[in-house]
Amino acid sequence: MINKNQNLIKQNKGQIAIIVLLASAIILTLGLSVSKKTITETKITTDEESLKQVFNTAESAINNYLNTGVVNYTTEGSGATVVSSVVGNSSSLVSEGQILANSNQLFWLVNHDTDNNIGSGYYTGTSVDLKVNDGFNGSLKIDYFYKDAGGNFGVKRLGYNFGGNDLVTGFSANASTTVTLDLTAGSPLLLSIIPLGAPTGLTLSGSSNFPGQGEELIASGSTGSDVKTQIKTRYIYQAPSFLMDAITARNIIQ
Amino acid sequence: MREYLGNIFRKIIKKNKIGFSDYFAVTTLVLVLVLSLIFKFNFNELTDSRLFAAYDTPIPPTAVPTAVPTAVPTVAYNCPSRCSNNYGCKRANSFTSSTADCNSPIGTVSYSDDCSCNFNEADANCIANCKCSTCTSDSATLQAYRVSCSALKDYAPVFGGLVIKNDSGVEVETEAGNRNQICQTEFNGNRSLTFEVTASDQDGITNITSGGSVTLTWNGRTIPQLGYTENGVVGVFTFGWTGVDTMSSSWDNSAAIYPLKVTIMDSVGTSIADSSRSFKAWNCQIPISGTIYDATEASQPFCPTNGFSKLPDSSVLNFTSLTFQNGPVTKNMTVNPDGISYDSGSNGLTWGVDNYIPKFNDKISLSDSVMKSQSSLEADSTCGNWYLDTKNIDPYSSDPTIMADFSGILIQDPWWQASGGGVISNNKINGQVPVTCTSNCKISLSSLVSAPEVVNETTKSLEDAQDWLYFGTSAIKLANVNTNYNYFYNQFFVKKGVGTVINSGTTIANVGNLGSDTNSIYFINGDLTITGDIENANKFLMVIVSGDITVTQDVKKVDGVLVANNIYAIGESDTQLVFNGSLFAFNNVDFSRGYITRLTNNFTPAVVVNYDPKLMFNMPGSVVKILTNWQWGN
Repeated sequence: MINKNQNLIKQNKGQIAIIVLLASAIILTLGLSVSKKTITETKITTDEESLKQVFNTAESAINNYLNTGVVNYTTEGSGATVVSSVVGNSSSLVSEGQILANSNQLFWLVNHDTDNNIGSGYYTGTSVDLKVNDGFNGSLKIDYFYKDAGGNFGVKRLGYNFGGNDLVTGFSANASTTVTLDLTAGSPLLLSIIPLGAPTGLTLSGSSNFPGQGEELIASGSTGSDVKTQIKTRYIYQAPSFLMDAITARNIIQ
Repeated sequence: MREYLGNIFRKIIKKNKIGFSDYFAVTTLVLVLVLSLIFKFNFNELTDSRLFAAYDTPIPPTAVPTAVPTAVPTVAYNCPSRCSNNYGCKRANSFTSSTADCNSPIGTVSYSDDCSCNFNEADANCIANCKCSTCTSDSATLQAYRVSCSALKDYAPVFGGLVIKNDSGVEVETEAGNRNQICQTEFNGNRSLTFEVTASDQDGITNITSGGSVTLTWNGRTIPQLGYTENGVVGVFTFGWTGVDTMSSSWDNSAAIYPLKVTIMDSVGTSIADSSRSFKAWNCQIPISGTIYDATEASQPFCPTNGFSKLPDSSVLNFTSLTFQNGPVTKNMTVNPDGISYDSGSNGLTWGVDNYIPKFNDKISLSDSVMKSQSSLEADSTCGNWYLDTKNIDPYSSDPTIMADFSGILIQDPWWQASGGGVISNNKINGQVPVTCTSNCKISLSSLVSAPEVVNETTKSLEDAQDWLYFGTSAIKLANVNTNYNYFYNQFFVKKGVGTVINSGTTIANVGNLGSDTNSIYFINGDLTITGDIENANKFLMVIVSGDITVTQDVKKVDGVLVANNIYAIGESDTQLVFNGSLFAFNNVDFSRGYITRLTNNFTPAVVVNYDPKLMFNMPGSVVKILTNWQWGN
């Protein structure tokens, strides 16, 4: 009985050695793998921190520009330069992508002064063409604000149903994708346009340049290790949408 | 007696055998004749008791009048023979009936013209102006004979006429049909009146005044006699009421007209009566009743039928009083418990009055009212007049009444309106433009109304109440959901340093109570109550409230932009509340304000929000330029 067990022990010694050898190989492999990943992630973390630093620098550069008007901004290990451009100042204005249904888009027809108050530079055309996306089958609520010869502010309310729909009772049917808006009521100030029922992009075309709609700022930041980023922002002249109407409420009006 | 003697003589002439009694009678007669010639005996002084045969029937006790006025010259005559014909009074000594001889003047009546008497004849059978008088029986013989029967000659009294006079003694002429009624204007509106009966008698007026009588009865009652005057042979007998003694209302006979019966009796008992004139005494009140109808659905009532079928909701109608007014005279009606009908009760309209004007309580919810009236005597109604006349109603009819119905448009609930700007909600808009509105009758004039649910809560259809209308499931999120107090506080005050913060609820009666912020932007961390007009002299005013804004009834005008959780306009006023600007509620906008004179609600909104575009362009520049787009890339 004892001999039998001793023989079994001798026979298994080789198998154990093999098992130990395999286990060591696996452990070595895994160890090397982890080590490589750690080295890589260390490098990524270093890049992200640099990028974050650059981003923050760029953002700070914009804020610095908005507050001081200085375009260059530097901080420890990074710097950013702000490039400002006026949005608009062309005979065509395009909405910033699709305008969501029931959200408004403003097209300014008067410039703003340095204090952001409305100025006296008006769009000089007597009309504009407003184009919606092809296939748009919603409606447009258009509010045209102007100042008459007496200096009084006025608003002209317009409405169109597109694509053969009758979404809004009382709106005019418009078979094409373009409507021409008459602006002769006075010195043009603003077009407030709300797509109803469906989103659409909007393009406003005129016979002369439109005033600036706001300001586009592009801040380009970098670090000494050549990590770069850009932040582009637009600051458009806006007003609370409820100021376009008489009564607005989230719940019940009665 | 003549017949008796005649029979005897006929027996003698015909040589008939006569009996002892006949012999005795003839002998006695001859003897009497002889003695009369000797003693010049007056035949007329004989009583006929010994000459008359007995009647078959007993003499009634006192069937004939006994009173013989001393002033009336009557002549009593012995009845010379048995009264056997059908006439109570006839020529004496004649066996023929005749009425011709009784009209001889009194005092000169000859024997042959005497009024003789027939026993038990009714006076009605007497010949004219003759009257049977006392008859007595022969008590000595106990025979029920008419032994002493006399007749007198008496003329009947004469009715001269009946005059009615008012309290001033002025004669009131008879109306068609020989009648009068107490409510004639000639009676001056009071019940002091007299009746004058004129009477005469050929036998002399004393034949009436002494022992006779004149009575005036009406409606089974005797009108009190006030006096008597004499004008020659004519007497004037006055009846009625004068001064404070007026005809009591207990005499009234509104249901019918009754004759005035004049009865004149002379002293002998001869009477005449006249009932040719009639009179009606009543309270001059014509009961009136009616119902109010709702013609709102018919837009307005049209005479005589449209709008007179639907009964109104009494809780809406608010019918509390109705008067019919004629100058200073007011007739108050009683409103029935149903709240939609009325009745005059005992306070009917006075007959004979024109132009009764109906007047309802001030706050009745009825406009464009039309009245339709009809008296109980009319076959058709009168519609369209705003007055009632009672003069044309026949006062002699039995119990006249008036029905006066009204129809109109129920006064509407208060309502509000936007002008120049849209009304936008993310949930629901309850328009209240009334069907009674006549011009500019829209929820929003010249602009869009948009919400997932939009209704006009009156009978005016939504399509009529609004031109531009966008509703349904897609009409959501037009109202910016972010622009509440905190948003503006952060955007304006925190980031831009714009505005003045008031850290508690407050009440303001004018714009100065807010303070003097450079940009006229105020943050109120609490509720705001506006009790006076907010007139903004600056280009811009914005009040941003974390709680609710309540505008009370004394406010007529609020300029500026109001932002709050809820915005209320409450109370009642006869002045319209006008907001000039824009209102934004994070929750609800609720205008319950109405007009004190509720009728104004039918036509004019109690609250108007006039959109003012200048406010948007006069916002401080520091808060109008905002970030709209942000992109990041390498």
